[in-house]
Amino acid sequence: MEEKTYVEDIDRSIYDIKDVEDDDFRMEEGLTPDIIKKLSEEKDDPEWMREFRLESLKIYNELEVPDWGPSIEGLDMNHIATYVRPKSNMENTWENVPQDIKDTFERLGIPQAERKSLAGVGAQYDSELVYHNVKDEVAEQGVVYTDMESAMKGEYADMVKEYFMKLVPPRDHKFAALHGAVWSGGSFVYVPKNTELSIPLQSYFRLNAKGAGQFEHTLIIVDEGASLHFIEGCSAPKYNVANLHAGCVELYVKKNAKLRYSTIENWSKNMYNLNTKRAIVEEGGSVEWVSGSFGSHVGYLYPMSVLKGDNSRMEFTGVTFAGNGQNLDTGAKVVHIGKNTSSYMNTRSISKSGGISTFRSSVVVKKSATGTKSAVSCESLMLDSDSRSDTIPAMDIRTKDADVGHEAKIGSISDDAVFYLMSRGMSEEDARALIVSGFADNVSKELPLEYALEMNNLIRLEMKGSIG
Amino acid sequence: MTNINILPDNENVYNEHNGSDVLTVNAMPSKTWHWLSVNEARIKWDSNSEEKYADELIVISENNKEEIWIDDITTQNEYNSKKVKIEAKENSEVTIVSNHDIKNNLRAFMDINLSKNAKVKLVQLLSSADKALYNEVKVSCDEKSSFELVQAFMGKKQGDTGYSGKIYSNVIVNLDKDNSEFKYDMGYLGQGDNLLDYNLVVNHFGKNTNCEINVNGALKDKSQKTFRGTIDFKKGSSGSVGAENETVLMLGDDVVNKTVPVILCSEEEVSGTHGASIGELDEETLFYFESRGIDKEKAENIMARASVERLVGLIENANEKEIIEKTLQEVLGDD
Repeated sequence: MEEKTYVEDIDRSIYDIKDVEDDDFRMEEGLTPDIIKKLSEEKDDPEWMREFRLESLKIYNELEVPDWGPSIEGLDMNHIATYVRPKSNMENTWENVPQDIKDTFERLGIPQAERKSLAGVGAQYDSELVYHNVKDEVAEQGVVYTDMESAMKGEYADMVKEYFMKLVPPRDHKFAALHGAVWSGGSFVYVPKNTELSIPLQSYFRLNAKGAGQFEHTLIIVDEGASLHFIEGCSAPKYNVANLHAGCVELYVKKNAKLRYSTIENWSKNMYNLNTKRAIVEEGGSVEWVSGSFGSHVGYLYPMSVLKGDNSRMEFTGVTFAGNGQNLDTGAKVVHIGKNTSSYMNTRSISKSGGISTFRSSVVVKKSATGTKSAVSCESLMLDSDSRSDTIPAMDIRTKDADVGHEAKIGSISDDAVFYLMSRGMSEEDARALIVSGFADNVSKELPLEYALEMNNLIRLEMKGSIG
Repeated sequence: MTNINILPDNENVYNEHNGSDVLTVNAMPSKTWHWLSVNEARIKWDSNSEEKYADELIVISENNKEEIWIDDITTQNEYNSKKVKIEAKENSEVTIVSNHDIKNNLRAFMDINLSKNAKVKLVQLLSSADKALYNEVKVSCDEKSSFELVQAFMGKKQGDTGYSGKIYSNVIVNLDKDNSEFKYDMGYLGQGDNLLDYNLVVNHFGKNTNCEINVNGALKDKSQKTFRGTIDFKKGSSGSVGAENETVLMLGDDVVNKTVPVILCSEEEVSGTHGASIGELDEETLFYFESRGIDKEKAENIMARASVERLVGLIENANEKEIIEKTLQEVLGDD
């Protein structure tokens, strides 16, 4: 019988270090109107937000759990703490962040990255931001980068009220409703007209508390002619109980504006990642999504782009790596509404050691979207026969004046390619790792160098194993 | 900032029969978002008044070669159903041509069993003026057997009713044993208010099994089409290959096309591909026609007919070819 490369699970030692839980406040577990009221009180919400939360809870109770994706039976909302406040106020100098939290982010390389290559950084620990800072020269350009709570109460209160969960209404799906009810933390970004940020902003989300949920809200408005690159990173240590991440990202890309949104998601493998991301793009604007999904036990993640304005465009570049115990259902959605809009999705999925990866997409071209061009390309790699890889794309085209293409491929690593590399002196393990890294280069070449290196390291670690 | 409607326009087409008298058909093995309305189709149907015709069994003996014509199923009642079972024994070879040009609502079922080394070619012409047709074909394939399916779906004009027929087709092919294969060629032409709703599932169970799927069609006027095509590589189907290709020519301002090409895979050593191309006549083809003095409208009509007429080239038998050409001529007219 042919012997196979045995592929070990990822070495997650950096991510798996658990800090002792020393919360300032931990909400009792479960979801009731009383808990929501208490949460609203803790957060000192304005009245409209308190009502919004309670209405969202009502919708949450009305909506069904999705029956088309991975099972979320292991997630018991009665045992998830929806709000855990760390013992720290939000700081804008790194020295003032409590030592244990600081150590965690130091290990993850966040402050180093800020010094080297970022225009601003936000770091969320459990339910609240513990650190937020933006470089002076960026702030001088009028760029606003702050936590959602401050934005909701400060001079941007009206803007937040106008845009908050308008793009992802609570009725969108059950976990959007949940988010509307219990959200806390997250970032608010406003880039004024014709302002170009040449270096990225970054938020990093860390969920340390056991059996807790993280529900941060990211609201970004890139005004006319402006441009922004926003990077998001996520991780958590592994516990033997379920943790939940049901964040929400709403991106408003105005006329002729540009936004690139990059994510490297590396949640621990007890995490249910039920995140919702959506962008609306006005005339001549563009949104680019770069997405790497490596962590989580179960993931539902499909960033959606609504191309509302004429000549608007979107691009989605993604890689998903599902290992042992993981069921990652990822992909993207696009709705073409404006004329002469274009979309391009380019994804890679890798499954190994019993992992399940599903690429799911939808391309909707409305009757108004004449002159649409859309192309989807998805490739899947099966590293063994214990794993599973599915491709479920859907297209709904309602104008004849459209050019829509789709291609998909599924297969395994070519023995010839491995043999070729081995004949050049590589071990089988290195050869396979190199092929997989090359397979995922659609994403790594779109990331800033530091992140591309991190992603390649993740892949290398995932592929590291012994030859059986 | 007002709420944005991200749903497809007029998203009620597939949910128009939400009453109690509804058949749910053409369910995909793997569901996706409900708001796309592609997971299954629903047909208004009165099962109580359905007339069931006697089941028919056709057996092709070992080593025999046959040709069988299944003519129009006479549809007397408003609702009818008919089941045909075909047993192709070892080393047999058969071509079956069935023509469902329905006058009343019909559910047609065909179960086909292919024994070792059997070869079956099924040619189906499905057309409807203003009635609903549900056509189901279920196939199981033994070792080294080969099943070929050629299907043409056409709307048809009848008096003043125009083109309002609804055709639902559900094909499930199980490549149960090693080295079995399936080839599928489908062509359709939707016109007027035609609704064409197809579901194809190919399950690869055996090793070194092969499937090739080619779907070509054109949509005119207000016609609507959904094609769900699933290639499912089951665990143990190593060495198998599946390829699916769809081309849709969009010719009307109010047409709706839905395509869901799915690959499910639980086996490492397989190769699966699918491709889809949806849009108007491309510039190169148009230029070719124009350089020969054929205008855009005429060129579009030629290409629309070609989606279905190309299937004639897949029929070897001259007699069958002639009958099929005549049927196509009747349905497609002279345009």
